[in-house]
Amino acid sequence: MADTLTLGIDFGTSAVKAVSVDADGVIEASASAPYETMKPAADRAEQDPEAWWQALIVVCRALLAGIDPQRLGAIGLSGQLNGIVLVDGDGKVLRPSLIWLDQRCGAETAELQGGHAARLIEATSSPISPIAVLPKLRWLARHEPEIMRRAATVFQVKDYILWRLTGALATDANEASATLMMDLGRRAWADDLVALAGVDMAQLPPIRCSIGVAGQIHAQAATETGLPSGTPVVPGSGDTGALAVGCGAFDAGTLAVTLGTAGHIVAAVPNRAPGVVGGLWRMAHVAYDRELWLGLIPAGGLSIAWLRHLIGGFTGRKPSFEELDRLLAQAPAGSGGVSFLPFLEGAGTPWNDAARRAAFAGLDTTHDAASLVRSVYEGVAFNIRASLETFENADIALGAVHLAEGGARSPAWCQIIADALDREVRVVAQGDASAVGAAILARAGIEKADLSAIVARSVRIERVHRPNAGNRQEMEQAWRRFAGDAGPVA
Amino acid sequence: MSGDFHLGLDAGTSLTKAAIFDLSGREIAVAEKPTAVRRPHPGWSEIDPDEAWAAAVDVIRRVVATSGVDPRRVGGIGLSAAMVGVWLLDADGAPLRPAITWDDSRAQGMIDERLAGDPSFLSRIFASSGSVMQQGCTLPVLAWLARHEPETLGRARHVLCFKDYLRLRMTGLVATDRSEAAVLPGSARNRDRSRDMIDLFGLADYEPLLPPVHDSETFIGGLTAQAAAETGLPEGLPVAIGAGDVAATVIGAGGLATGTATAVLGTACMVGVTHDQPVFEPADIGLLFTLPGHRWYRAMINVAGTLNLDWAFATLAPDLAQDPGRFARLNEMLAATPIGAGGLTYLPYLSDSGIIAPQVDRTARAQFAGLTPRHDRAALFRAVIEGVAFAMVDLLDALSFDGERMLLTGGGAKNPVWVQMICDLVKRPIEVPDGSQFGARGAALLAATAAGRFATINEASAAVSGAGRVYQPDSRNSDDLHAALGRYRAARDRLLG
Repeated sequence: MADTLTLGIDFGTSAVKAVSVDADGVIEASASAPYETMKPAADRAEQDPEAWWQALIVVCRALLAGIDPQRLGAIGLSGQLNGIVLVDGDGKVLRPSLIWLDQRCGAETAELQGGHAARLIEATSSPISPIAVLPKLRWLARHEPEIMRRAATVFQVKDYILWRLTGALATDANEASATLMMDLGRRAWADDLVALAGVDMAQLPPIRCSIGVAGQIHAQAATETGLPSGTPVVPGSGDTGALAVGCGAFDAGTLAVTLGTAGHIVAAVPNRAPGVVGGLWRMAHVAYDRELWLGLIPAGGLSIAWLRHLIGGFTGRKPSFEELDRLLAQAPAGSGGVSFLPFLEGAGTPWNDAARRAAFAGLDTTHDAASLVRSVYEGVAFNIRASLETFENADIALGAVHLAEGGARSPAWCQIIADALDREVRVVAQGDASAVGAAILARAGIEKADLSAIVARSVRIERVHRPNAGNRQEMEQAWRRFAGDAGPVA
Repeated sequence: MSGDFHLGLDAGTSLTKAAIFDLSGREIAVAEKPTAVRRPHPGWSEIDPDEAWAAAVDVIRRVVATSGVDPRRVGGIGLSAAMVGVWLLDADGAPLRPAITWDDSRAQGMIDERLAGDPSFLSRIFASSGSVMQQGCTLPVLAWLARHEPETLGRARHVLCFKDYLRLRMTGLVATDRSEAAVLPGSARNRDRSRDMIDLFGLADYEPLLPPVHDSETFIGGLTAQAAAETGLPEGLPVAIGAGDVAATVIGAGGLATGTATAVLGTACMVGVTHDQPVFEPADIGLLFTLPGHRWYRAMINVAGTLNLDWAFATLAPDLAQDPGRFARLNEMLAATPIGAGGLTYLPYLSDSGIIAPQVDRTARAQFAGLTPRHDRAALFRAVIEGVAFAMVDLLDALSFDGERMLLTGGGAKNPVWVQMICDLVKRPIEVPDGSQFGARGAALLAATAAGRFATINEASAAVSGAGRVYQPDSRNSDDLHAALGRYRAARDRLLG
C-alpha cells in the first residue's frame, strides 16, 4: 500500500492536468494538455467534450510512461464547475459544452433574481449568477428544447469523464452545490430548483460521496488511455472542493489562497444557517460536517502576468519573476504611497462588482517603476486582507492561512502577503492543488484511514512567512489607503 | 538705425533665459543658464541672489555674442522673472539672506493659524487680489520672517521680488511694477499694493521696505558702469521696469487683447483669459494677474502639466528617457492606441500640491483608472497625454471661456498631436506662436514700448501675434474624445468626492 500511487486528474478551464502522488503527497509524475475554448459570441464560451477526452488520452499516456502502471491504486477526478454536457441515450454528446464562463443566460438569471431569489438563497446560500448551471439550463430549455428533450443525462465536466472512464453515473456535493440546484443543508438535489432549470430529476446523476469508489476503468477506456483496466475511480470533487483538499483548507477555520490566473480563497467553515454572506459562494465541502466558502480575486495572478507584460513594454524585454522580485525589493513597504486596485477583470470578493476596473492611485513624482511593481503585489495582498475581513465579519474563527500555486512560488510576494495580512502564512509545497486534491481523495477511497489524517500528511508546507514587524506601520498605512481607494464593501 | 533690437531677460526659479528680438518679435538668439534651488528644510525653496545675478550676466553676454547683434543697436533691456517671494536687502542693496521663492511653503503653518481664528481669511484676500494666495507670496513670507527672523528683517531696508532685484543690480535703482504689487497680495482693482492687505498680515511697520510702484513699460534708469562692464553692454543702456513672468508671457505670446485665451502647457499647465476689467469669478479659485496696458489675466493652473509626461518617460520608458527621438516614439505610441486609450483614464495630479483648479484638494494625487489586461505602455502614455488635455478643458470651463482666440505655448505646444487633441476638445482654432521665449519676448516688448517703438504695450503685443501655426478643430474625433472626457470627469469626481 505504501508504494501505491493515486492519480488525480483535474479538468481546468484551459487544460487537463494529471498528477500521480504517493502516500505522503509527494508528486511522482505529472502531465498536462490544453484544449480550446470557443467563443461563438461575446457572451458565449463553449468547449468540445471530445477535446477533453483526447487531452486526457495524451495526459494519461505521457504520465504512464514515467511510472509503473501496476502501482496505480486509484483515480480521483476534479473539474471546472458549472460546465454542462448533454448526452443522449446512445451516449452521444448533443452539443458543445457551455462552460462556466458562458454568460448567455443574463435574462434567465434576472428572472431567477426577480422571482425566485428568496427560495434560491434559502436552499443554496449563494449569489444568483449567470455562471451557475441552473440559469444556463433554463436558457437551453428555452432556446434549444429539442436538444434538451433528447438529453438522457445532463452531466457536468468531470462527471462526464467519470462516465466515459467507468460507465458510472455520479456527481459530488461540491460540484452539485455550485449549480444552484442543490439544497446545501441536505446535500441533495432540490426538486423545485431542478424544475426551475427545466430539466427532469432523472436526467441528473446522483450525488455521491467524493471518496467512495464509483466504478472501475472499463476495457475500452483502458485501451484508449492506457490506464489499467479495473482501476477504481472515485467521483472526487468539483475543483473548489478538490482545491481545498489539495491546499489543506480542511480543518474548520483553515483558509487557503491560490494565486493562479485568478486568485481563489477557499475556507473550511462549520455548517451554518442559510443566507448569503459577503457575496461569497457557499458550497459543500468534501467533509460532510462543514461548508466550503469561496472568494474570488479575478485577476489575482493575472495582475502579475500583466505587470510582466507592462514592464516588458518599459524595458523591451519581459522580466523574469526573479527580476520582478528584485525590482519590488527596491521600493519601500507601502510602495511609497502608491495603491494598486487589482480589478483588471472586475472587483471580486468582497466588493463583487464586475464593472470595476484596476487603478494605480496616489502617484507623485517620487514614484518609479519599482513603486508600481511593488504596489501591484501589495494590491493583490490587500485584496486578500479585505476578503479575510469578510470572513471574520461573518464570525468565522480563522485558523491557519495557506498559500498555494502560482504566486506562492515567489518568497517576496508571500512575505508581502504576510505583512499585508499581519498574519503568518504557510506555503504549500505542491503545485496543481486541485489535481493533488483529487489524488488525495482517491487515496481515501482505497485506504481506510480518516480523510483528515491523509490530508494532514499529504499537504506539505514548504515555507512559513511571519509578518515583518519593521514593515507594520507602513503596511497599515498602505492598507488604509487601499481600503479607502477600493471603497466600501456592499 | 539704433534700437532695432531689444533684449528680454526672463529669470525662472531654476533656469535663467535671455533672448534678443527684432521689432517684429522675431527671436534672434537665446541663451539659458540653470540655477540651483536650495531646499534646506521640507517645503522651503531658496535661491542665492549672487548666483541669480551671475546667471543673468552670463546669459546676457552669451545671447549678445550668439546673436551677432552690435550691442549699440540694442535699444533697451526688459525684465521678467518668477513672481513674488522675498529678496531681503540692506541699505546698500546687499542680500541679507538667501532669496525665498514663490513656491516656498514655510508660511503655511501661519496661514493655517490665521484660518483657525478666521475661516474667511483667504476669502478676504481673494476679494482684494482675485487670487488664491500662494504661500510663497511676499506678504505671508514677510510675516513669517517677522516672527522667525526678526533680527535679519530688522536690518532690511528693501523687500523686493526677483526681477526687481536684478534691475537693482543693473541700475542701482529700487522699484517694482503693478503686476507684482497687485499679487503680494494687493488690490487687483487698484492695480497696486493694498494697505488693507498689509495690515491684514500685521506688516504696517514694514511697509516702508516695499519699493515704489511704476508702470512696466517705462524706463527708470540705465546700466551702471559696473553692470555695463559685467554684461558687456553700453553704460546707460535703458532698463525697463518689466513685469512678472506670467504677465510678460501673455504679452509676449500675443495674448494681451481682451477675450483671448493664453495657455502655457509647461511643467505646470496654466490657462487664462485676458479681460479689460478685473474678474473675481468664480470666487476663491484660480489667480488674477494685473497686466500692463490696463488688462487683467484671469488664470487657472493645473500644477502638473508636462511634469506628468516627464514622469511617465522616466518611470514607464527608461529605454526612451534619454532618447532624443522620444517624442517621435511617443507619437508612434499615440498613433497605435485608439482615442480614449481603450477606457484607461489618467488623472494628472502628480504634483505635491495636488489639484488647485477647478477645485482644491492638496492631498489629491495622480491615478491611472480603468486598467484592464489589454492595456499596455502605449495606452498608459495616451492616457497621460489625454489626461493633461482633459485637465486643461476643466480649467477653460472654470474660466467660462467663450472667446474665439486661443494661444498655446510651452513645451507641450511643440507636439502637434497633443495640440490637435486640445484643439478638438475645445472646438475652436488654436494658435501656437513661433518662438520659444515668450516671457523674454514680453519683457523685450515692454522695453521697446518704453523706448517709444510702439505707442502702447497693447499695440506691441498685437504686433507680434499672428506668426505661428494655427490648428483647426477636427470634429471627427469629437465624440470619442468627449466620451473619454466624461470618463475622466467621473474618475476625477470619484477621487475628489
